[in-house]
Amino acid sequence: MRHAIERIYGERRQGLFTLALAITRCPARAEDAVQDAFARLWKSQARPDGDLVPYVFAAVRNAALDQVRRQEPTATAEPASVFNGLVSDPASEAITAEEHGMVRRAVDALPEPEREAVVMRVYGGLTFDEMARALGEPLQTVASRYRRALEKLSERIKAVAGPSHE
Amino acid sequence: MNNDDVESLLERMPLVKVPASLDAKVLGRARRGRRILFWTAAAAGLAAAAVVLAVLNFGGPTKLPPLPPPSKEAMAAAEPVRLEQNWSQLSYEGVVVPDGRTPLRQFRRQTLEHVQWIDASNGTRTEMTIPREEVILIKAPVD
Repeated sequence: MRHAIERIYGERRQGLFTLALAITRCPARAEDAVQDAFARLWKSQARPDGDLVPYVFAAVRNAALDQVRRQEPTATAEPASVFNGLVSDPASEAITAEEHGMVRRAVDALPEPEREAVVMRVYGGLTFDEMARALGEPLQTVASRYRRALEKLSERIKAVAGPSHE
Repeated sequence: MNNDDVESLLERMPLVKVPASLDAKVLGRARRGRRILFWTAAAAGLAAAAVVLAVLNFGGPTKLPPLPPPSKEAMAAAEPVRLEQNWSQLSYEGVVVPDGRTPLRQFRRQTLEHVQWIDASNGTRTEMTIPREEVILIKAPVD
């Protein structure tokens, strides 16, 4: 199982870190959460049936939630976004600065469960079935939550951008 | 703007990158665990070999009466016998610095696995020898 988990880390590390960051809203805590999750996975004697991907995502999510619970209530640092600052590259099909700002604000304003769903699906590459298993919720609930998040994002982007993004 | 457009926008957003230090923390721990497992297995193997040697040495030589030769019927009915022997040696080859930064202790383990199948019913013997070589790198402490 160790090799399989190591392979999942190699293939999904960006998605796992982004999920931890979406929950903790702090890069250092997100890093600690991923490290803690894998430390637990290496020690664990559990042998889950089937696909290990949801199991690993669930471990990282739980570790990130633990990080949030341990957070000092007095911490006042501004919550970090999962998105990096825009690096201008005219040669690439990079997103425009206007779109970047709109999407970033819209995603950051989503309620946490919806932001988690977007990150798991878009950046973690999970199927709805895998998301449902990672979250321990019915597939329909998870799929509806994701669609609702996209609709909210669409409405917010349209409201800010106007007719050009209709 | 429909859901596909939103997904497309999201996919093009630049993410906060995974810190390089995380790989070392996560994978370093996994490899450390694997090394502990290797050395535990090696120690267990050595202990088992020591027990076998002790039993052979301290048990003392015992003279047994010669066995009668097996009958032809027994020979014909016998299943092929599988004999397996393994040899292994571990040698230390000093400190190497493959990436120019991190000193690592290099060990080389050479293993020879020899398997024989002997079929007493027709007197045939099949042999197979598998040589293996592994290079093990262990992070050297830096003062």
